[in-house]
Amino acid sequence: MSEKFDVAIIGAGPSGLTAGYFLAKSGLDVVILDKASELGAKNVYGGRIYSHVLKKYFPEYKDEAPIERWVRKEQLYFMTRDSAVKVEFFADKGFLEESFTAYLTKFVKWLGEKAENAGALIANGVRVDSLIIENKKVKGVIAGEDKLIADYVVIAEGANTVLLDSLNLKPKTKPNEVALGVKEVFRLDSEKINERFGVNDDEGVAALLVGYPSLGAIGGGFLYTMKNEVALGVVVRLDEPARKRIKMYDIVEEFRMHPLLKRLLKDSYMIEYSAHFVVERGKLPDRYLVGDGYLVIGAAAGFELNTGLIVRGVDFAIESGKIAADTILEAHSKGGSDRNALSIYLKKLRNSFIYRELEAFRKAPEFLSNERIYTKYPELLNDFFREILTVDGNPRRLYPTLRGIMKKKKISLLGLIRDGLRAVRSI
Amino acid sequence: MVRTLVGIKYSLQVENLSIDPKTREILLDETPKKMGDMDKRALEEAIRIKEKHGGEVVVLCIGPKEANKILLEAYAMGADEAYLIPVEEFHDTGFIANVFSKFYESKGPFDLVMLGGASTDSFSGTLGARIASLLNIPIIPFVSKLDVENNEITAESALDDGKYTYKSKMPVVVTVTLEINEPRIPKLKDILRAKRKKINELSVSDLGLGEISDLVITTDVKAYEEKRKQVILDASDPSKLDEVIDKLINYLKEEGVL
Repeated sequence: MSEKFDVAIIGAGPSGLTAGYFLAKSGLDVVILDKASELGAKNVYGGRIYSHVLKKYFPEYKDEAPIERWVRKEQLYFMTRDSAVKVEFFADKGFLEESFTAYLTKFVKWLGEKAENAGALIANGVRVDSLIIENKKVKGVIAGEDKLIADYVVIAEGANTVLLDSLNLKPKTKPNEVALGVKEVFRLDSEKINERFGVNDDEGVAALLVGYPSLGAIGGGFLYTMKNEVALGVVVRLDEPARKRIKMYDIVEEFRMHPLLKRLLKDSYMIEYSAHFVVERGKLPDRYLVGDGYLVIGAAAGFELNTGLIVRGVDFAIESGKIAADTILEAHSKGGSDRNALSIYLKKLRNSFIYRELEAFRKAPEFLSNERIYTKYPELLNDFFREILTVDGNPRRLYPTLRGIMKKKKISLLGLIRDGLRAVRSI
Repeated sequence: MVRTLVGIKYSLQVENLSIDPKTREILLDETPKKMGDMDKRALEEAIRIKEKHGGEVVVLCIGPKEANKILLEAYAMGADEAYLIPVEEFHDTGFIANVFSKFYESKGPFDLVMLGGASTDSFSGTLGARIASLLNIPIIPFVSKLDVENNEITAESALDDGKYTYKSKMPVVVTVTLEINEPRIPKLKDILRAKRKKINELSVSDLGLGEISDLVITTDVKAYEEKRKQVILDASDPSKLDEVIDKLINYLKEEGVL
């Protein structure tokens, strides 16, 4: 006996659930398969969701979604072992609804309930091992001994593309194309969070931290304030620890012990830790995103963006899930499910913010793989402030001081200008 | 044909207990939960009996609403009917046994009541005996091997002082240990079938029970505090190193380590 569905979606994350929600809402018979024992159990991210897509597709999110705090303070830290330079944008009220902090596990549960209420069937604890492929066309999924037939298969397996890789449906992921993120959650009373971070009850902080957090490796730290917790983590490109002979474990431990963070986290205690892959390579080439009988969406498709200032994934995931649903509905109404019928997916993607933004920032990964950003420049910035703020009777004028430090750090003026221009051009 | 009633508990995963370091209280919301380990084996055994002899497996959980999750799992494993009696608070085994027995009477007759030998979290191991005494039927506790034949069961319990073999007429309450079987992992089809089944909900008053109060009230649960002595010997001055080593040796002798 084999079950038959209109659509089988592999992965119950933001992208898969959005696709499932819209397909089921339009009356299609949808099953969403996920290997986690319960919804959200395997979802990890930093801590922030940009609201624009929710306003568009789930305007009720403000009342329903598990929002922790609306981001009021955007911070960028350049850190050395024992000092830091912080740039902060204290947002005006109008900016408040731009993004919010949330637990992805809870957010995914919320989306999952919506998908189920719309009629999608979500099966947890199911690992999809392979796809049924006949005459090069995907006809369903295989999980253990069970087969499941579906007219359309949506691959939303996330950044760790085990299924796509094992079926050679895309080139194998290289270590420098993904990063490993490790996240720790610290319990801290909301009043203490408000006091220490200078925010009101519903307002939060989103921070990116450069330099010391990754011990100079390509990567960085992040910090998000939840209602009663602080989420703190480090993301490091996967090839870096091996190359630099540092342990991920040490990076995480050292980061947390930085004097600045120690002050922010005083009296808190860790309640949770987790780790996850992050896509750094940019999106998959078009030919891998759509095939006979299937589509690839969300992080599995590489729809994640890191500009150095902004890290995004969930909004891309939701948008791609919606576009996949529209594509399938259109193809279904015409009765087609081959690559040709599904290729409108690419057209829709090109017209969406997904491609517009990924295209605009396509040089960001290259710019962000410049090691000086994580080593020399944070040190330069910290030394510079340290020097010009020192009062000992010796005059310290800005430019000569800067040049002095650059000489000591072996940073050439030309190199600095070049890197600056690269930054301007890529982000 | 054997009609079995299985009781399962929505238990704390004690290996993942979240504890407030200041108050030493258990953070119940943060601690993950699951179907009790022995309860799951009781369910597995009931399903195996059904597969061999025919019949039906009815599963009951008395717990919070989120316990739906383990009833869904029970359906996926092969249960025929699942019931949740939602209760907000933590209750003693007296309360649970009362509700359970009322359910037995209202949804009976059953041939067999299967339970875990003890719950994964509070581990009192007394529920089976309480239920048996309320229903006035026999109980065989801590069973590691079970056979059913012609309205009679043969059960083995490996206890501290030896291995016991019992025979009993049905209906009978059987509680099981971890050794009895290895529970199955539901397959895709089972999970899909489970998702389409309905979890029945009953309230305590649906069973015709009025106010039941707990006989034993848990007033406080606190994790043990592991106190370290945190003695620091200053060995920063190399010229005084011998002195510090002597101190360390003396200290270890005082503590009875050496």
